[in-house]
Amino acid sequence: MAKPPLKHFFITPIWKDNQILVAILGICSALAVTIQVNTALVMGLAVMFVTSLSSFFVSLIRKITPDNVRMIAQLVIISTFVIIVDQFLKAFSYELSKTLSVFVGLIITNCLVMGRAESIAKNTAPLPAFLDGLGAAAGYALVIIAVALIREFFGFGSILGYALIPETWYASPEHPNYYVNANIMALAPSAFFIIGFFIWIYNLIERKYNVVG
Amino acid sequence: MAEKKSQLNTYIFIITLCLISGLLLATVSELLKNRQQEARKAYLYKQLLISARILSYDNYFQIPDKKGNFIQAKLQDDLLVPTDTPTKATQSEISKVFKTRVRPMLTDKDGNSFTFEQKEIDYETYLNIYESKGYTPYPYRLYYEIKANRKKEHMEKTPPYGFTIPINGYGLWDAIFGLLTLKPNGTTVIGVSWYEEKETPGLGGEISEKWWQIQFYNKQIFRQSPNERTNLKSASLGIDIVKPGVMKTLPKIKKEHAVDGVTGATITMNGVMLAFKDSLAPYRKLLININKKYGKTST
Repeated sequence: MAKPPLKHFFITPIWKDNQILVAILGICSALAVTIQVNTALVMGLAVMFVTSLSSFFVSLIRKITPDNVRMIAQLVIISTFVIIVDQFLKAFSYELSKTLSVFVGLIITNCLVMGRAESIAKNTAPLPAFLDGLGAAAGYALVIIAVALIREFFGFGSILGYALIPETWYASPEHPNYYVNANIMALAPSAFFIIGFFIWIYNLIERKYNVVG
Repeated sequence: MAEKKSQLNTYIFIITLCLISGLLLATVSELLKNRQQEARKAYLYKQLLISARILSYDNYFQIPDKKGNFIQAKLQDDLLVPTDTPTKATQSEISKVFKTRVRPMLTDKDGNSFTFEQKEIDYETYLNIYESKGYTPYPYRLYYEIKANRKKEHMEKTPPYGFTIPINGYGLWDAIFGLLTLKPNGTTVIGVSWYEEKETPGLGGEISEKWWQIQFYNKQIFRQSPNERTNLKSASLGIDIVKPGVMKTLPKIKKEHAVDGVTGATITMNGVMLAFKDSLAPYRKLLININKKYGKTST
Protein backbone atom coordinates (compact mmCIF):
# COMPACT_ATOMS: atom_id res chain seq x y z
CA MET A 1 0.00 0.00 0.00
CA ALA A 2 1.37 3.39 -1.00
CA LYS A 3 2.04 5.77 1.84
CA PRO A 4 -0.54 8.58 1.89
CA PRO A 5 0.92 12.11 1.49
CA LEU A 6 1.41 14.14 4.67
CA LYS A 7 -1.40 16.59 4.03
CA HIS A 8 -3.80 13.70 3.81
CA PHE A 9 -3.38 13.26 7.58
CA PHE A 10 -4.44 16.83 8.19
CA ILE A 11 -7.31 17.14 5.70
CA THR A 12 -9.14 13.83 6.10
CA PRO A 13 -10.20 14.29 9.74
CA ILE A 14 -11.47 17.83 9.14
CA TRP A 15 -14.38 16.82 6.92
CA LYS A 16 -14.33 13.20 5.75
CA ASP A 17 -13.61 11.71 9.17
CA ASN A 18 -15.01 14.58 11.21
CA GLN A 19 -14.86 13.46 14.82
CA ILE A 20 -18.21 14.89 15.86
CA LEU A 21 -20.23 14.31 12.69
CA VAL A 22 -18.86 10.90 11.71
CA ALA A 23 -17.28 9.33 14.76
CA ILE A 24 -19.77 11.01 17.19
CA LEU A 25 -16.94 11.70 19.64
CA GLY A 26 -16.49 14.68 21.93
CA ILE A 27 -20.23 15.22 22.18
CA CYS A 28 -20.28 15.98 25.91
CA SER A 29 -18.05 19.04 25.63
CA ALA A 30 -19.82 20.06 22.42
CA LEU A 31 -22.97 20.36 24.53
CA ALA A 32 -21.32 22.32 27.33
CA VAL A 33 -19.24 24.99 25.60
CA THR A 34 -21.48 25.93 22.68
CA ILE A 35 -23.70 28.42 24.48
CA GLN A 36 -21.58 31.36 23.35
CA VAL A 37 -19.28 31.76 20.36
CA ASN A 38 -16.20 33.04 22.16
CA THR A 39 -16.11 30.14 24.61
CA ALA A 40 -16.46 27.71 21.69
CA LEU A 41 -13.67 29.51 19.85
CA VAL A 42 -11.21 29.31 22.74
CA MET A 43 -12.23 25.76 23.51
CA GLY A 44 -11.60 24.82 19.86
CA LEU A 45 -8.13 26.37 19.99
CA ALA A 46 -7.33 24.68 23.29
CA VAL A 47 -8.40 21.29 21.95
CA MET A 48 -6.28 21.85 18.83
CA PHE A 49 -3.24 22.57 21.00
CA VAL A 50 -3.80 19.61 23.29
CA THR A 51 -4.69 17.06 20.61
CA SER A 52 -1.87 17.90 18.23
CA LEU A 53 0.87 17.97 20.88
CA SER A 54 -0.34 14.96 22.82
CA SER A 55 -0.62 12.97 19.56
CA PHE A 56 2.93 14.04 18.74
CA PHE A 57 4.34 12.87 22.06
CA VAL A 58 2.30 9.67 22.21
CA SER A 59 3.71 8.84 18.80
CA LEU A 60 7.23 9.79 19.88
CA ILE A 61 7.26 7.24 22.69
CA ARG A 62 5.13 4.65 20.87
CA LYS A 63 8.03 2.19 20.50
CA ILE A 64 9.02 2.13 24.15
CA THR A 65 5.50 2.22 25.61
CA PRO A 66 4.56 -1.12 27.18
CA ASP A 67 1.24 -2.19 25.71
CA ASN A 68 -0.50 -2.83 29.04
CA VAL A 69 -0.03 0.71 30.35
CA ARG A 70 -0.38 2.64 27.08
CA MET A 71 -3.71 4.22 27.98
CA ILE A 72 -2.41 5.48 31.31
CA ALA A 73 0.63 6.88 29.55
CA GLN A 74 -1.61 8.62 27.02
CA LEU A 75 -3.72 10.11 29.79
CA VAL A 76 -0.65 11.43 31.61
CA ILE A 77 0.51 13.17 28.43
CA ILE A 78 -2.93 14.58 27.62
CA SER A 79 -3.56 15.89 31.10
CA THR A 80 -0.11 17.50 31.19
CA PHE A 81 -0.99 19.60 28.15
CA VAL A 82 -4.45 20.40 29.44
CA ILE A 83 -2.99 21.76 32.69
CA ILE A 84 -0.47 23.82 30.71
CA VAL A 85 -3.31 25.37 28.67
CA ASP A 86 -5.19 26.16 31.87
CA GLN A 87 -2.15 27.78 33.49
CA PHE A 88 -1.45 29.93 30.44
CA LEU A 89 -5.06 31.06 30.24
CA LYS A 90 -4.94 32.06 33.90
CA ALA A 91 -1.76 34.07 33.40
CA PHE A 92 -2.51 35.83 30.13
CA SER A 93 -6.27 35.97 29.79
CA TYR A 94 -7.59 35.88 33.31
CA GLU A 95 -11.14 36.90 32.48
CA LEU A 96 -11.54 34.26 29.78
CA SER A 97 -10.06 31.59 32.01
CA LYS A 98 -12.80 32.35 34.53
CA THR A 99 -15.54 31.34 32.12
CA LEU A 100 -13.65 28.42 30.64
CA SER A 101 -11.62 26.81 33.40
CA VAL A 102 -14.15 24.05 34.16
CA PHE A 103 -14.42 23.09 30.52
CA VAL A 104 -10.69 23.27 29.83
CA GLY A 105 -10.21 20.73 32.61
CA LEU A 106 -12.75 18.54 30.87
CA ILE A 107 -10.62 18.30 27.72
CA ILE A 108 -8.85 15.46 29.56
CA THR A 109 -12.01 13.40 29.33
CA ASN A 110 -12.78 14.43 25.76
CA CYS A 111 -12.97 11.10 23.90
CA LEU A 112 -11.67 12.79 20.76
CA VAL A 113 -8.18 13.38 22.16
CA MET A 114 -7.80 9.84 23.42
CA GLY A 115 -9.41 8.47 20.28
CA ARG A 116 -6.73 10.08 18.12
CA ALA A 117 -3.98 8.82 20.43
CA GLU A 118 -5.34 5.28 20.33
CA SER A 119 -6.22 5.01 16.65
CA ILE A 120 -3.52 7.03 14.88
CA ALA A 121 -0.76 8.35 17.12
CA LYS A 122 0.35 5.01 18.55
CA ASN A 123 0.71 3.56 15.05
CA THR A 124 2.36 6.34 13.03
CA ALA A 125 5.40 8.60 13.00
CA PRO A 126 5.33 11.81 15.09
CA LEU A 127 4.81 14.32 12.29
CA PRO A 128 1.76 12.66 10.66
CA ALA A 129 0.37 12.07 14.16
CA PHE A 130 0.77 15.77 14.94
CA LEU A 131 -1.01 16.81 11.73
CA ASP A 132 -3.73 14.27 12.31
CA GLY A 133 -4.37 15.58 15.82
CA LEU A 134 -4.45 19.14 14.52
CA GLY A 135 -6.89 18.22 11.76
CA ALA A 136 -9.19 16.23 14.00
CA ALA A 137 -9.35 19.07 16.52
CA ALA A 138 -9.88 21.63 13.74
CA GLY A 139 -12.86 19.60 12.53
CA TYR A 140 -14.16 19.56 16.10
CA ALA A 141 -13.62 23.31 16.45
CA LEU A 142 -15.50 24.07 13.23
CA VAL A 143 -18.52 22.08 14.31
CA ILE A 144 -18.74 23.53 17.83
CA ILE A 145 -18.31 27.07 16.52
CA ALA A 146 -21.14 26.48 14.04
CA VAL A 147 -23.35 25.13 16.82
CA ALA A 148 -22.42 28.07 19.05
CA LEU A 149 -23.30 30.57 16.30
CA ILE A 150 -26.81 29.13 16.09
CA ARG A 151 -27.26 28.85 19.85
CA GLU A 152 -25.97 32.31 20.71
CA PHE A 153 -27.98 33.99 17.97
CA PHE A 154 -31.31 32.36 18.76
CA GLY A 155 -30.76 32.02 22.51
CA PHE A 156 -29.36 35.48 23.29
CA GLY A 157 -29.84 37.50 20.10
CA SER A 158 -26.11 38.17 19.88
CA ILE A 159 -22.90 36.87 18.27
CA LEU A 160 -19.62 37.12 20.20
CA GLY A 161 -21.45 39.25 22.75
CA TYR A 162 -22.57 41.90 20.22
CA ALA A 163 -26.33 42.25 20.22
CA LEU A 164 -27.64 41.71 16.69
CA ILE A 165 -31.36 41.90 17.38
CA PRO A 166 -32.36 45.48 18.19
CA GLU A 167 -33.79 46.19 21.63
CA THR A 168 -37.02 47.52 20.09
CA TRP A 169 -37.90 44.15 18.56
CA TYR A 170 -38.14 42.49 21.95
CA ALA A 171 -41.39 41.87 23.75
CA SER A 172 -42.13 44.38 26.49
CA PRO A 173 -45.15 45.14 28.65
CA GLU A 174 -46.37 47.48 25.87
CA HIS A 175 -45.83 44.97 23.05
CA PRO A 176 -46.29 41.51 24.51
CA ASN A 177 -46.39 39.84 21.08
CA TYR A 178 -42.92 40.88 19.94
CA TYR A 179 -39.79 38.77 19.66
CA VAL A 180 -38.58 36.64 22.58
CA ASN A 181 -35.25 34.78 22.77
CA ALA A 182 -35.62 31.02 22.50
CA ASN A 183 -34.75 29.93 26.01
CA ILE A 184 -34.23 26.30 24.97
CA MET A 185 -31.12 27.40 23.05
CA ALA A 186 -29.46 28.27 26.35
CA LEU A 187 -30.01 24.72 27.61
CA ALA A 188 -27.86 21.72 26.74
CA PRO A 189 -30.54 19.66 24.87
CA SER A 190 -30.64 22.23 22.07
CA ALA A 191 -27.05 21.35 21.17
CA PHE A 192 -28.18 17.73 20.82
CA PHE A 193 -30.82 18.73 18.28
CA ILE A 194 -28.46 20.99 16.37
CA ILE A 195 -25.69 18.42 16.21
CA GLY A 196 -28.22 15.77 15.14
CA PHE A 197 -29.40 18.16 12.44
CA PHE A 198 -25.79 18.71 11.31
CA ILE A 199 -25.19 14.96 11.12
CA TRP A 200 -28.29 14.61 8.96
CA ILE A 201 -27.08 17.36 6.61
CA TYR A 202 -23.62 15.81 6.52
CA ASN A 203 -25.04 12.45 5.55
CA LEU A 204 -27.18 14.03 2.85
CA ILE A 205 -24.06 15.63 1.38
CA GLU A 206 -21.87 12.59 1.72
CA ARG A 207 -24.63 10.18 0.69
CA LYS A 208 -23.76 7.94 3.57
CA TYR A 209 -26.96 6.68 5.04
CA ASN A 210 -25.54 4.24 7.54
CA VAL A 211 -23.62 5.96 10.29
CA VAL A 212 -21.39 3.66 12.28
CA GLY A 213 -20.69 4.51 15.93
CA MET B 1 12.19 -14.33 33.87
CA ALA B 2 11.16 -12.50 30.73
CA GLU B 3 7.83 -11.62 32.28
CA LYS B 4 9.49 -10.17 35.35
CA LYS B 5 11.77 -8.05 33.23
CA SER B 6 8.89 -6.60 31.24
CA GLN B 7 7.12 -5.79 34.47
CA LEU B 8 10.16 -3.89 35.68
CA ASN B 9 10.27 -2.06 32.37
CA THR B 10 6.66 -1.02 32.83
CA TYR B 11 7.41 0.41 36.26
CA ILE B 12 10.45 2.28 35.02
CA PHE B 13 8.51 3.64 32.04
CA ILE B 14 5.58 4.92 34.05
CA ILE B 15 7.73 6.42 36.80
CA THR B 16 9.92 8.25 34.28
CA LEU B 17 6.90 9.53 32.38
CA CYS B 18 5.28 10.83 35.54
CA LEU B 19 8.52 12.45 36.68
CA ILE B 20 8.99 14.23 33.37
CA SER B 21 5.44 15.50 33.19
CA GLY B 22 5.48 16.46 36.86
CA LEU B 23 8.70 18.39 36.39
CA LEU B 24 7.30 20.12 33.30
CA LEU B 25 4.12 21.18 35.10
CA ALA B 26 6.01 22.38 38.15
CA THR B 27 8.24 24.53 35.94
CA VAL B 28 5.33 26.00 34.01
CA SER B 29 3.38 26.75 37.16
CA GLU B 30 6.42 28.30 38.87
CA LEU B 31 7.24 30.43 35.83
CA LEU B 32 3.69 31.71 35.48
CA LYS B 33 2.99 32.12 39.19
CA ASN B 34 3.86 35.80 39.48
CA ARG B 35 2.15 36.60 36.23
CA GLN B 36 -1.01 34.80 37.41
CA GLN B 37 -1.06 36.62 40.73
CA GLU B 38 -0.57 39.93 38.95
CA ALA B 39 -3.38 39.08 36.55
CA ARG B 40 -5.65 38.18 39.43
CA LYS B 41 -4.84 41.32 41.38
CA ALA B 42 -5.36 43.50 38.32
CA TYR B 43 -8.67 41.77 37.78
CA LEU B 44 -9.72 42.49 41.36
CA TYR B 45 -8.79 46.20 41.04
CA LYS B 46 -10.76 46.44 37.84
CA GLN B 47 -13.81 44.75 39.31
CA LEU B 48 -13.77 47.02 42.36
CA LEU B 49 -13.67 50.09 40.13
CA ILE B 50 -16.48 48.63 38.02
CA SER B 51 -18.60 48.10 41.13
CA ALA B 52 -17.91 51.75 42.04
CA ARG B 53 -18.82 52.80 38.49
CA ILE B 54 -15.47 54.60 38.19
CA LEU B 55 -14.81 52.22 35.32
CA SER B 56 -17.48 51.22 32.82
CA TYR B 57 -17.97 47.64 31.63
CA ASP B 58 -16.28 48.40 28.32
CA ASN B 59 -13.21 49.80 30.06
CA TYR B 60 -13.73 53.59 30.01
CA PHE B 61 -13.31 55.80 33.06
CA GLN B 62 -16.43 57.66 34.05
CA ILE B 63 -17.48 60.26 36.63
CA PRO B 64 -20.93 61.41 37.77
CA ASP B 65 -22.01 64.86 36.54
CA LYS B 66 -24.13 67.28 38.60
CA LYS B 67 -27.35 65.43 37.84
CA GLY B 68 -25.82 62.11 38.83
CA ASN B 69 -25.57 60.72 35.29
CA PHE B 70 -22.27 59.07 34.55
CA ILE B 71 -20.19 60.62 31.77
CA GLN B 72 -16.96 59.43 30.19
CA ALA B 73 -13.72 60.66 31.67
CA LYS B 74 -9.98 60.38 31.31
CA LEU B 75 -7.09 60.35 33.74
CA GLN B 76 -5.18 63.63 33.97
CA ASP B 77 -2.63 64.30 36.74
CA ASP B 78 -4.15 61.64 39.03
CA LEU B 79 -7.58 63.18 38.53
CA LEU B 80 -10.51 62.02 36.44
CA VAL B 81 -11.77 64.83 34.20
CA PRO B 82 -14.68 64.73 31.75
CA THR B 83 -13.72 64.27 28.12
CA ASP B 84 -15.36 64.09 24.71
CA THR B 85 -12.66 61.87 23.22
CA PRO B 86 -12.46 58.94 25.61
CA THR B 87 -9.84 56.23 25.26
CA LYS B 88 -9.92 52.82 26.88
CA ALA B 89 -8.29 52.69 30.31
CA THR B 90 -4.97 50.85 30.36
CA GLN B 91 -3.99 48.41 33.05
CA SER B 92 -1.49 50.82 34.58
CA GLU B 93 -4.07 53.64 34.70
CA ILE B 94 -6.50 51.31 36.47
CA SER B 95 -3.87 50.37 39.06
CA LYS B 96 -2.98 54.03 39.52
CA VAL B 97 -6.59 55.07 40.18
CA PHE B 98 -6.97 52.15 42.55
CA LYS B 99 -3.81 53.05 44.48
CA THR B 100 -4.62 56.76 44.81
CA ARG B 101 -8.31 56.54 45.63
CA VAL B 102 -9.08 53.18 47.20
CA ARG B 103 -8.05 52.55 50.83
CA PRO B 104 -8.48 49.08 52.31
CA MET B 105 -9.86 49.54 55.83
CA LEU B 106 -10.80 47.37 58.79
CA THR B 107 -13.82 47.51 61.04
CA ASP B 108 -14.51 45.77 64.34
CA LYS B 109 -17.79 44.47 65.72
CA ASP B 110 -18.80 47.90 67.06
CA GLY B 111 -18.44 49.53 63.67
CA ASN B 112 -15.23 51.44 64.42
CA SER B 113 -12.87 51.95 61.49
CA PHE B 114 -9.13 51.38 61.43
CA THR B 115 -6.50 51.51 58.75
CA PHE B 116 -4.31 48.47 58.22
CA GLU B 117 -1.32 50.38 59.63
CA GLN B 118 -3.14 51.14 62.88
CA LYS B 119 -3.72 47.44 63.46
CA GLU B 120 -0.32 46.48 62.03
CA ILE B 121 -1.84 43.98 59.63
CA ASP B 122 -0.45 43.52 56.16
CA TYR B 123 -3.14 43.91 53.49
CA GLU B 124 -1.74 41.29 51.11
CA THR B 125 -1.36 38.65 53.83
CA TYR B 126 -4.82 39.44 55.13
CA LEU B 127 -6.29 38.94 51.66
CA ASN B 128 -4.43 35.68 51.10
CA ILE B 129 -5.69 34.21 54.35
CA TYR B 130 -9.27 35.44 54.51
CA GLU B 131 -10.41 35.99 50.96
CA SER B 132 -11.51 32.40 50.35
CA LYS B 133 -12.96 31.99 53.86
CA GLY B 134 -14.95 35.20 53.91
CA TYR B 135 -14.15 38.24 56.03
CA THR B 136 -17.12 38.17 58.33
CA PRO B 137 -16.17 35.77 61.14
CA TYR B 138 -12.91 37.57 62.03
CA PRO B 139 -12.41 40.30 64.60
CA TYR B 140 -11.38 42.85 61.96
CA ARG B 141 -13.43 42.88 58.77
CA LEU B 142 -12.30 44.30 55.51
CA TYR B 143 -13.98 47.11 53.62
CA TYR B 144 -12.71 49.68 51.17
CA GLU B 145 -13.08 53.41 51.39
CA ILE B 146 -13.11 55.17 48.02
CA LYS B 147 -11.84 58.73 48.26
CA ALA B 148 -13.41 61.62 46.41
CA ASN B 149 -12.13 62.55 42.97
CA ARG B 150 -10.02 65.43 44.27
CA LYS B 151 -6.39 66.52 44.32
CA LYS B 152 -4.35 64.83 46.99
CA GLU B 153 -4.31 67.79 49.39
CA HIS B 154 -8.13 68.10 49.35
CA MET B 155 -8.85 64.39 49.26
CA GLU B 156 -8.82 63.75 53.00
CA LYS B 157 -11.11 66.67 53.86
CA THR B 158 -13.83 65.93 51.31
CA PRO B 159 -16.40 63.26 52.15
CA PRO B 160 -15.53 59.99 50.44
CA TYR B 161 -16.99 58.89 47.12
CA GLY B 162 -18.23 55.61 48.52
CA PHE B 163 -17.58 52.42 50.46
CA THR B 164 -17.07 48.92 49.10
CA ILE B 165 -18.00 45.84 51.06
CA PRO B 166 -16.96 42.32 50.00
CA ILE B 167 -19.93 39.97 49.59
CA ASN B 168 -19.34 36.22 49.76
CA GLY B 169 -21.74 33.35 49.47
CA TYR B 170 -22.59 30.09 47.79
CA GLY B 171 -24.03 29.56 44.34
CA LEU B 172 -25.02 26.29 42.72
CA TRP B 173 -21.55 24.93 41.93
CA ASP B 174 -19.13 26.78 44.15
CA ALA B 175 -18.55 29.79 46.37
CA ILE B 176 -19.34 33.15 44.76
CA PHE B 177 -17.50 36.41 45.48
CA GLY B 178 -18.73 39.90 44.89
CA LEU B 179 -18.18 43.54 45.76
CA LEU B 180 -20.89 46.01 46.69
CA THR B 181 -20.16 49.72 46.55
CA LEU B 182 -22.39 52.08 48.53
CA LYS B 183 -22.81 55.82 48.46
CA PRO B 184 -21.38 57.63 51.51
CA ASN B 185 -24.84 57.59 53.11
CA GLY B 186 -24.21 53.87 53.66
CA THR B 187 -27.59 52.79 52.32
CA THR B 188 -27.76 53.47 48.56
CA VAL B 189 -26.02 51.16 46.12
CA ILE B 190 -23.63 52.67 43.57
CA GLY B 191 -22.93 49.38 41.86
CA VAL B 192 -22.13 45.73 42.31
CA SER B 193 -19.75 43.24 40.76
CA TRP B 194 -19.78 39.47 41.07
CA TYR B 195 -16.20 38.84 40.15
CA GLU B 196 -15.67 35.21 40.96
CA GLU B 197 -18.25 32.55 40.22
CA LYS B 198 -18.35 29.13 38.62
CA GLU B 199 -22.09 29.10 37.88
CA THR B 200 -23.64 27.63 34.73
CA PRO B 201 -22.72 29.91 31.81
CA GLY B 202 -25.80 31.53 30.33
CA LEU B 203 -27.91 30.81 33.43
CA GLY B 204 -26.47 31.38 36.92
CA GLY B 205 -23.30 32.69 35.27
CA GLU B 206 -25.25 35.75 34.15
CA ILE B 207 -24.71 37.23 37.63
CA SER B 208 -21.30 38.41 36.44
CA GLU B 209 -22.80 40.02 33.31
CA LYS B 210 -23.44 43.71 32.83
CA TRP B 211 -27.17 43.51 32.08
CA TRP B 212 -27.82 41.84 35.40
CA GLN B 213 -25.50 43.94 37.54
CA ILE B 214 -26.76 47.33 36.31
CA GLN B 215 -30.11 46.59 37.93
CA PHE B 216 -28.51 47.21 41.30
CA TYR B 217 -27.79 50.88 40.62
CA ASN B 218 -29.44 53.15 43.22
CA LYS B 219 -31.16 50.35 45.12
CA GLN B 220 -31.56 50.58 48.90
CA ILE B 221 -29.92 47.88 51.00
CA PHE B 222 -32.06 48.75 54.05
CA ARG B 223 -35.72 48.00 53.48
CA GLN B 224 -37.53 51.31 53.88
CA SER B 225 -40.42 51.66 56.31
CA PRO B 226 -43.56 52.89 54.59
CA ASN B 227 -44.42 55.69 56.99
CA GLU B 228 -41.76 57.05 59.29
CA ARG B 229 -38.01 57.30 58.84
CA THR B 230 -36.29 53.96 58.32
CA ASN B 231 -34.76 52.64 61.51
CA LEU B 232 -31.34 51.44 60.38
CA LYS B 233 -30.90 49.40 63.56
CA SER B 234 -33.81 47.09 62.81
CA ALA B 235 -34.61 47.41 59.07
CA SER B 236 -34.00 44.23 57.09
CA LEU B 237 -30.65 44.41 55.36
CA GLY B 238 -29.90 42.97 51.90
CA ILE B 239 -31.32 42.96 48.39
CA ASP B 240 -34.31 40.84 47.39
CA ILE B 241 -34.35 39.00 44.09
CA VAL B 242 -37.79 38.58 42.57
CA LYS B 243 -39.15 36.63 39.64
CA PRO B 244 -38.64 38.50 36.36
CA GLY B 245 -41.71 40.55 35.54
CA VAL B 246 -43.00 40.76 39.09
CA MET B 247 -41.12 44.03 39.63
CA LYS B 248 -43.75 46.29 38.07
CA THR B 249 -46.39 45.05 40.49
CA LEU B 250 -44.30 45.77 43.60
CA PRO B 251 -44.91 48.85 45.77
CA LYS B 252 -42.21 51.51 45.61
CA ILE B 253 -40.49 50.71 48.89
CA LYS B 254 -40.10 47.06 47.86
CA LYS B 255 -39.03 48.02 44.37
CA GLU B 256 -36.12 50.00 45.76
CA HIS B 257 -35.01 46.93 47.64
CA ALA B 258 -35.33 44.29 44.88
CA VAL B 259 -33.92 43.28 41.48
CA ASP B 260 -35.10 40.89 38.77
CA GLY B 261 -33.72 37.36 38.95
CA VAL B 262 -32.46 35.17 36.12
CA THR B 263 -34.90 32.55 34.85
CA GLY B 264 -33.59 29.02 35.27
CA ALA B 265 -31.05 29.93 37.94
CA THR B 266 -33.10 29.73 41.13
CA ILE B 267 -30.37 28.19 43.28
CA THR B 268 -27.80 30.80 42.22
CA MET B 269 -30.34 33.56 42.87
CA ASN B 270 -31.12 32.24 46.35
CA GLY B 271 -27.38 32.05 46.96
CA VAL B 272 -26.91 35.66 45.89
CA MET B 273 -29.78 36.82 48.07
CA LEU B 274 -28.41 34.95 51.08
CA ALA B 275 -24.90 36.24 50.37
CA PHE B 276 -26.12 39.85 50.59
CA LYS B 277 -28.02 39.14 53.78
CA ASP B 278 -25.23 37.22 55.50
CA SER B 279 -22.32 39.37 54.38
CA LEU B 280 -23.96 42.71 55.12
CA ALA B 281 -25.29 41.79 58.58
CA PRO B 282 -21.91 42.10 60.39
CA TYR B 283 -21.34 45.49 58.76
CA ARG B 284 -24.59 46.98 60.03
CA LYS B 285 -22.93 49.01 62.80
CA LEU B 286 -20.30 50.32 60.39
CA LEU B 287 -23.03 51.33 57.95
CA ILE B 288 -24.93 53.14 60.73
CA ASN B 289 -21.74 54.98 61.74
CA ILE B 290 -21.07 55.93 58.13
CA ASN B 291 -24.63 57.12 57.74
CA LYS B 292 -24.31 59.30 60.88
CA LYS B 293 -21.05 60.78 59.68
CA TYR B 294 -21.72 61.39 56.00
CA GLY B 295 -25.46 60.79 55.54
CA LYS B 296 -26.39 64.48 55.60
CA THR B 297 -23.58 65.85 53.48
CA SER B 298 -24.57 63.85 50.44
CA THR B 299 -27.85 62.93 48.87
